[in-house]
Amino acid sequence: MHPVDSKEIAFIIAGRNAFKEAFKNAGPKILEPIYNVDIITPNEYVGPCMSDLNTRRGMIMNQDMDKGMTVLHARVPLAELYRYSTILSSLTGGSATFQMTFQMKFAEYVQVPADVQTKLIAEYAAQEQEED
Amino acid sequence: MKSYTTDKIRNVVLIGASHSGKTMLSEAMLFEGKVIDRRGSVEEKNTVSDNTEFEQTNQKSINATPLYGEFNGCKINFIDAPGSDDFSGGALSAFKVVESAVMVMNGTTGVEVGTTIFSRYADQYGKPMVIAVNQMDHDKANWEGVRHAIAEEFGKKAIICQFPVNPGPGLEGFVDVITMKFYNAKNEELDIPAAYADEAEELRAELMEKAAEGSDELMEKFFETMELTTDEIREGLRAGLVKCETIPVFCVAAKANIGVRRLMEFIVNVCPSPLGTVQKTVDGGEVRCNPAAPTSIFIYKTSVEQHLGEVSYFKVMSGTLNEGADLVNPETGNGERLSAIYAVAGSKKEKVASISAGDIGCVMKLKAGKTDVTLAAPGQEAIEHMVFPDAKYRCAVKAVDKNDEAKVGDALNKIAAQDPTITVEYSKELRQTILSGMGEQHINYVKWRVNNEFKQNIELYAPKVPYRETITKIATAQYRHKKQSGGAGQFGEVHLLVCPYIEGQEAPKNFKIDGKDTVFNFKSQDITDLEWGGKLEFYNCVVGGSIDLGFMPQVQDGGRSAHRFLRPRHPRVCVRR
Repeated sequence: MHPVDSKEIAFIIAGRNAFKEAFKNAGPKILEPIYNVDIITPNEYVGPCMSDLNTRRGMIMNQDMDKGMTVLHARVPLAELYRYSTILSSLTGGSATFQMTFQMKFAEYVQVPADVQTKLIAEYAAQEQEED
Repeated sequence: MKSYTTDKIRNVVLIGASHSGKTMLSEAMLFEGKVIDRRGSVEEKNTVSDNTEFEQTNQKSINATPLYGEFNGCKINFIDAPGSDDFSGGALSAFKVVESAVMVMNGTTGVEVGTTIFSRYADQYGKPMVIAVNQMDHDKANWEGVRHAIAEEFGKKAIICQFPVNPGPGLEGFVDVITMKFYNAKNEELDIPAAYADEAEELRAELMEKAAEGSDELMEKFFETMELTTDEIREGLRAGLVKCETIPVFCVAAKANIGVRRLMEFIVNVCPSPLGTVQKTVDGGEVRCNPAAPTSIFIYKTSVEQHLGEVSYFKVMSGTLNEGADLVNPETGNGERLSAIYAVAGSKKEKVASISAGDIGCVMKLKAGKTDVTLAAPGQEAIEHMVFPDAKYRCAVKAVDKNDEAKVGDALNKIAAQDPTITVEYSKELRQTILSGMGEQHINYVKWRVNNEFKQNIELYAPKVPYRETITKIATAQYRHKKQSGGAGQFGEVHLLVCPYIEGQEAPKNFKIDGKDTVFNFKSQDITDLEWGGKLEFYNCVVGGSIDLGFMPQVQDGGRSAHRFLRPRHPRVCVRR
């Protein structure tokens, strides 16, 4: 303890840097939000919808029927859902619809695969450089 | 223009797939309803309904345009809804103010994707449906095919009320099995030609059976006599229609204006009037459509129109709205005098002195509320809000020129206030403005409006993903901050350990640090729930006053700011120190 020079700012800086250091060494992993997506499609398009979900790292949890349509319940990373309404529409001739929901809770976040993490870090570093 | 009593009003929405001919049908209905004396066409870009430049260039409706026509002393308000699912917001808000829907079908293709989508919506919103098979004069008109497709899609609910004679370019007219008459291409009522008498009798028998299902009395009479009068058929159809158990099927050729008059007659004779219909209020009460009750109007749509500015469309849910009425928004308490009220047919507006319960009208430049609000006599409850599906398309938006940011934000907010299916919000975390709507076309239309109406350029791009970060193993660190070169110096040294947080598990106290077993002694703890669901626990294990306890919050702040500092877009998760 150094009674004279111990100042708030000194501890903020020390705390921050110690934390940064520790975090870096603690096996940091990036988590991404995973949305619940319900796709309602005529039966003949179930196949194309499923294979498209696979290319989006989606997981089909289960499927059921509603008024003659198939409902696919899937979990898909948000990162893969940009323009999904347009894609689903062209995939099914406009005959399928979907709903997506997300709850802000820890269980809804999942570690990204290693290749995605590498890519994100590289993107982030590039962006940092640009901003500096 | 005269004012109509509630029982003389019919409110319908025209729904159906794109290019099924809803706008052309509404043009013919306006003509038959004596509102216009010349029919325009979509190709010539001069219809009453598609009156914006965007609609005319794209030859499709974007807005649900309210129109009306007078027929047999009744006022039919019909809303020409867009056929694209991206603009379904217009049809869905129309469901709030109509008693029934006319499903317009393309007579060459029959049941299309749009047909299914919109009939599903009608079902969800509990609206009775009448089918109008259009384009019976098209050279590819296929009545038999359409008829089977309808039976397949709607099953026993659908009941044929008309069939065409010689469908195709030489269309002669329609045989109507309710009136048992033949309506020729000039809309003249004639006897059924002998060649079609058998088919008409057969369909009439099916129709009677279906109508008899409408009520027990009709069923009894039908079983006794095997016969129902035309009025009894109408009564039975109405009963089935209101319960959404019957879907009467009609034929029209809207472009040539054949059969449209008969369809309007059916709407007047059989479709329900708003009288006595009930709207729920936000507080769980009810507002009954009764002209003698206190005035209550519901604004279901707001748009900005050329030369007029902001126009708000409403339905009088109860009471009578008189020119100059003082009404209050029950949810905000804001009051407003409606000094001028209008009947509407697309861009044509006609000033009226009063509007009865059940009727649709508009006012200009309303201040007390935008879309989805109630204005009522003091003491009334607000009517339940409209329900729309969740947004299906999200993107980030920014002004092309940074200096225009404020103007662009203002434009987007104005559009969102008019269109309840558009939302605009600024995400602090992503540092992006997020625009969401019903589909890519919908969003592109917003872009077009910002560009054309507000003269601003915007750019749409992919929204960022709110990534988070967590740790997977234990790590320690120490840091000494020292700045003691002249004057008052700075000195601080922090040792800390981070370890992953496991839900439901108590914080461990025994660690091996540099090969030595160490037991932590928790002096105090601080638990922060992060807004996205993660958790941050902070334990103070300082030994023997080596740091003044007064500085603990600063160490903690330093740690917390570090995770922002560390990788700003990936805030940290579940760390315990």
